[in-house]
Amino acid sequence: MPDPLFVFIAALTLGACCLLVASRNPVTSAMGMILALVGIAAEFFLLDAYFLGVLQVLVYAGAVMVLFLFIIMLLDVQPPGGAYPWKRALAGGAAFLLLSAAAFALLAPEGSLAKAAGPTPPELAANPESYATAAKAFGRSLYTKYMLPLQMAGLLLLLALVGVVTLAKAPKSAD
Amino acid sequence: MTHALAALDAFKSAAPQAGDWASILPEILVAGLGVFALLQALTLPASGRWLIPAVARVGLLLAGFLAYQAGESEGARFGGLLQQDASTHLWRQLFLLCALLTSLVGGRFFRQRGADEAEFHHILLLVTASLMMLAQSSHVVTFFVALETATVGLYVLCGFLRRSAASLEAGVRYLVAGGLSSALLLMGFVLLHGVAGMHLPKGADPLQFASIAAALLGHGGEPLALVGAALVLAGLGFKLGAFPFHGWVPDVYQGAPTPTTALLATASKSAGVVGLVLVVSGPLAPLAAKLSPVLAVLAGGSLLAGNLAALGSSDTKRALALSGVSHAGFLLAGIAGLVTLRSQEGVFGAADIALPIVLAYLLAYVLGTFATMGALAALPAESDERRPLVALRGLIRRSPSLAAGLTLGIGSLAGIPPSIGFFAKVLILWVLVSAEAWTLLALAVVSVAVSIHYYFSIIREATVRTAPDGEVPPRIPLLDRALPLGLGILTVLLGLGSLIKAALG
Repeated sequence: MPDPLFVFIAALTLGACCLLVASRNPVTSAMGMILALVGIAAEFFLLDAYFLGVLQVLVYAGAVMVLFLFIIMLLDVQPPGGAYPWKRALAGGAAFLLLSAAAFALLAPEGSLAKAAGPTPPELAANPESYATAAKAFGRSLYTKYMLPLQMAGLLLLLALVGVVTLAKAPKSAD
Repeated sequence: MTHALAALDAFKSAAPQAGDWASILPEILVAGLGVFALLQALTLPASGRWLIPAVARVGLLLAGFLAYQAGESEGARFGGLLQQDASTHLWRQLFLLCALLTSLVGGRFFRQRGADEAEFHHILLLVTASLMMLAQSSHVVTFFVALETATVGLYVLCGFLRRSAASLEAGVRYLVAGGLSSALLLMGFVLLHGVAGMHLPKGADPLQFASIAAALLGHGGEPLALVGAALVLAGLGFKLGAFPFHGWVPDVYQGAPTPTTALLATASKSAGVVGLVLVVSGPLAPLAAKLSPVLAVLAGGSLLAGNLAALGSSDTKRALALSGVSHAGFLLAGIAGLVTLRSQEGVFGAADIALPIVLAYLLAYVLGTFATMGALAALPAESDERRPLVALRGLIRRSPSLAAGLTLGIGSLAGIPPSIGFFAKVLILWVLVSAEAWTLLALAVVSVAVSIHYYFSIIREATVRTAPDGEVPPRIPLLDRALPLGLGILTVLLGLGSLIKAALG
């Protein structure tokens, strides 16, 4: 029997995802997405991956979604009029459920369902990926093993910054 | 105190060593030049701004020299994040060549259109540095970060002419296509990582290419691994502009500023090729028997789709873009041959020569593309995104040197002897013969015959047809005329050189 808290949060996350896809109001959709992201963060907490959970809330549910909402409100997108297409939505949802069930039956490795339903296996309880849980371990691997990709990501940010300035600044008159 | 020192020592031994940083000196130099271009833009007076492209070009030459010097160094760097071998340094030089030629083609082009040269060089140099990192990555993290950095820079370069709606549209289209391809690639790697993580012993890094290969060796048939491999191939197919992921190519290539189009066609395609080569010879090597038919289908589809679509095109840039798809087909055919040869083992060691042949094909393609695109960029046009074939009419009268450069470049792209393009095509056909890929061979030969038609219609407009009288010949600066002509002559000289070498040895 899985953890009841897990079941509750999973149901909440799935419901939020349905809201995100089904709602015709973009702001409601964005709110659904925030809820879904927070739900996933809560699952990370249940897995003892506190650091990942905090990052998820800070980066995705916080910064990225604020950007989404900002743009939605800036563009002032109106929900379309007319009756809600219930039949199409239900048919689409059913088809997606069938497809994902088929894909899961095909792709899921042998016995993974039983594993997921049972208690946490000891090798996971020992938590081999220590950098998923603690900021210190994460920082250590970031500044030792992954020093080079970290530097490259810095260049990526610089490049994106210069690119945004280039694309957004007022045009210079050609002479 | 001693505790802190011990922690520092532990950090020092785990952090990258000085030798690691020294091994990527060319990349550090190029990236540093990119940052330096911004500093120059801040400090130089308007009269001194010519220094920016000059410094960048000299630096690129210097980096090329460093990469050439490093020709023999091999081995794993940064604790297995990078893997250098003899081909690494060739890829580096290829990317540096693309950057140098783009800088030469783009300098005046962007200045004339009121775009900032410093920002152009900054982005170009950072893109080049990350492509050079890509060519030596042997770890999912470095591979993805390098590819993503290069792609983000290319988005900006596509939309660089902000006052042109077509340029901005090209930028957005490329952003969507690039985002989709990155997502596919990442999902594929995640699935492969999952398969590797399930089967590897504790302590092995399931993101390392070699460990993924080790895990797939026994468990390559698992559906999860196959879906992951398919997603990775699809993501790289987008980057390469190969069938059936070539939908974005014509619109983006046509709308982007011409120097960016040249960079996309050469450096970005080379990135797709080097990524594909790294992936099929690294993590996906155990799946070779399953991969080679898939690659052959992609190659054949690209050859047909590119050439047939180019036949109906009346725009020079669009026709060249679609011909780029068929060139991607040729390159994929070479890689498919490489994979087949590796899985068979030992046909005169043909598998070892297949990779240099793909590189030689890319070199020929780079030279031919920059000769034609350089000539196009030098020609005045009302709008950069519309360059109809008719506009080339009578070019031989207006500017003989540009017409000659264009003709020689296109001759090399079409594979007319004695240009280098001809030998490159023959070598790829030889790989296909060695791999006994007869269907692909037939498709390749047919596609060369078909491509002659549209290539020659460009040459005919430029040289045979005459323009109406009374047109004032445009004044085109010497450098802009000399570059396409020089590259065109280089394709012929290299071709003749390889002919003489083949005849002697």
